[in-house]
Order: sequence, then C-alpha cells, then structure tokens
Amino acid sequence: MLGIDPKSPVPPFEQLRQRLMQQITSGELTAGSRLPTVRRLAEDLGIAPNTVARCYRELEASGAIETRGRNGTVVAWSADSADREIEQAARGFADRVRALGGDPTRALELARAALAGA
Amino acid sequence: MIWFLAALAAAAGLALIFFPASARGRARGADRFARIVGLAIPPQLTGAVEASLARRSRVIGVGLVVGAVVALPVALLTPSGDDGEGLLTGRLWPAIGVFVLVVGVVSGLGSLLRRRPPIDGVRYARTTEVRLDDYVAPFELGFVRVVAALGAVGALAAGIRVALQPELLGPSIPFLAAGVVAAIALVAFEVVGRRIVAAPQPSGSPAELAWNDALRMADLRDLTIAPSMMGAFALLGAAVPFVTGGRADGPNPIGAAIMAGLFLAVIVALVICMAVMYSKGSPQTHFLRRLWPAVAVEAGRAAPQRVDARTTASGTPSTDGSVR
Repeated sequence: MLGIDPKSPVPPFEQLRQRLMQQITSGELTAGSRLPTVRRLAEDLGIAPNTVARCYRELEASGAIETRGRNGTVVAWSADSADREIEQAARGFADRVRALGGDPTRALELARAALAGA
Repeated sequence: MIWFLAALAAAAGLALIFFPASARGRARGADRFARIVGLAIPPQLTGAVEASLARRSRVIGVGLVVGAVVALPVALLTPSGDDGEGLLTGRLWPAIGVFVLVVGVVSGLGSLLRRRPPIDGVRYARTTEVRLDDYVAPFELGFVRVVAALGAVGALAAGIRVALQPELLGPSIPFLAAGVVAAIALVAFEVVGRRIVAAPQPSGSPAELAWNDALRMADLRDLTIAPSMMGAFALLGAAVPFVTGGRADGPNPIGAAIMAGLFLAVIVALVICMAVMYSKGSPQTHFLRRLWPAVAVEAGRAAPQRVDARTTASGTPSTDGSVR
C-alpha cells in the first residue's frame, strides 16, 4: 500500500520512488512480486503515466525491479542479491586499494567514514 | 408459467430501480453486507458504502428487467422436449441461464461504469498487481471453469448423438441450449471479470480501497452463477441418450436409474465442493485473506461492526494496510 500526497512539497515522482524503494528494501515487496502496470498505478494515484514510467525506469536502473516483457514488472531486489552486490563492490574496493599500494587500515577508516556520511 | 416468471422478474427489477430502500433499510443492508465480507464500515465511509450498495441494487434491478426481456424469447423459442413445462428437460432452464447471465453481466458492466468522486487529498494504491483469483477463490474459479467447459463438451457430445439419431433432438434441445449458454457465460465471466479486475481503483484511504475490493468481489461472484449453473445442467443433458435409450418416445427404466444416480452424484459432488470451499473460510472473505491478510485475521477475531468516532474499528485497514 502506498499513498501519494499531491499537496506535499516532495514531487509525486520522488514520493513514489521512495515508497516503492522502502517497501522493496523492507521486504514488504519480495523478489518476484509483480508491480501494477504503469497505466493502472497512474490511474489509481491520479498522476501522469510518464511519472510512473520514469520511476519504474529509475528503479530498474538501480536493479530494484526488472521488466520481463509481457510478464510485467517484477521486484528483482532481495537481501541476498544486495549482499552479493555489496560483496562484489567490496572486492573491487580491496583490489583498487592494493593496486594503489594503500594502507588497508587507512582504507577501512575512509570506507567507514564514507558509509557514515552516506 | 413462462410469462408469469418473466413478469415477476421484471416487476422485482422495477421495484429495485424505482423504489429504493429507505435510509434505515440502506443502513441495514450495508451492515448485512459488512458482516458477510468481514469489513467494518468506518464513519467517514458510511455514506459512500451505502450509496455504492444502493447503486449496486439499482444496477441489479436493471439486470433483472433486461434479463427478463432477453430470457423470454429464449424460453418461447426453445422447444420444450418431451414433457412440455417439465423442469428438468423443459425449455425453462436455458432461459433461466440466459436470465442469470444477463443479470451478472449487467451487474459487472455497472461496476465498470461506476464513477468515483474526485479525491482531494492523499491517494492510495496497492503496489502489487491483482488478479481474478484474488477475488474469487481458486477452488471456486476452477469449479466454474471445469463445470462450464464440461457442460459445453457434454452438449457437443449430445449434439453429435443427435446428429446420428435425429429422433433424440426433442429431449436434447434444452440441454444443448444450456451447453451453449454455459460456454457463452464462461466467456462473459472471463472477459468482463478481467476488465473489472483491471479497472482502476482510485481511493482516498486504505479502507475505501478495501470496500472497493469487497464490491468487486460481489460483482465477480455474480458472474460465476450462470456458467456453473448451466454447465451442471448441460452435463446432466449428456445423460439424455442413456435415459431415452435411443428412443424418442420416452425413458427406459435402466436409463432413468442412471439419470437419477447421476443427478444424485452431482448433488453430492456439489455438497463436497461447498464443504471443501468453506473449510478454507467463506468464499466471500477470500479477497480479505488474499489482499488484506491483517484485516482478515482481525475480522476472524471480532465480528465487524459499524463504528463511531469514539471506538476503534476492528477489520478496518489503516494507512499502511495493517489493521487499525
């Protein structure tokens, strides 16, 4: 269930993106769940279909959802897949630190600071 | 008899259209419906729910009138078979099927044409796609599809038998017509049903969305009556050749016994199906268990009731879709 407030200073696109992302990452929408069609969600929420389409495109680009042609749009993100991607990113980070000859302790401190600032 | 039944249905329809229930009657009707579907009526939705149910009642009234007008020529044009006004092989059954089909389709179209007032504030939508089996229990859905399809196949088999033995035409015609009506009703259910499910549900609160779901469920279940009823009747018709034993002049004792056994078996199967269906909960609350599980759990604990501003509703969805 999601609600869009047309009077909110946050644009409908951003409200929609945030709510969907929140439901996906919280596990309310599990991997494989089918999202409504662009047209249906736009009609239900009283917003332009382009707004929903843009939101779906952004979520697809971030790997949270995927479009499967006639089978519609489904949630692709899961805690497992996120873990795998983080592990892959960590390996890339470690390789880069080694290639630069950096100090691993200092690199970890910088990574922690970056995560805390995110 | 046929004219009397048509007039009765049309009169009932006109009464529903032109003599709407009083405010008290509407409130009682809304409470009854709320108990059936397991949803409480929040105070801010009382007027809208009562108006929706009153509108549904008027639409059914239109369906009754149109159904009577359409079914009358079907009844008059269907050959009566060997027993004139008999109920089992009489011309009445296909007409009843057409009547129920028209009422269901008109009710479904009324749901599609329902206009929602514009929503000023926050608008709510669910984030998952809904399907026909979210509103009609899979068991019920399977039953309707199988019975209607078997009825159509039974009618086809009876048609082939009639082609080979033209003397069977008389007693078989009502069943053949029932098979055709079952097939048409199944197609109508699939087409109109999917349109209803795909229609938008603009809602100003989760409770409004839940009530919209409840009305949809009622419209969709109306559409299941004609295919299952006519399918079952056409299936019985497949046994006509056994009854007549290939003679057009009347049943033989063995055939009559087979027919009676088959009829009994169908009734027993129906009772078993109903028992299985209800063992998983009322089919009218299937949509709650599927789309509003938290509400279904709460509704299972407490009977739904009309709530006032001072009390907390049980069985009413809150903004996050959970129970308030």
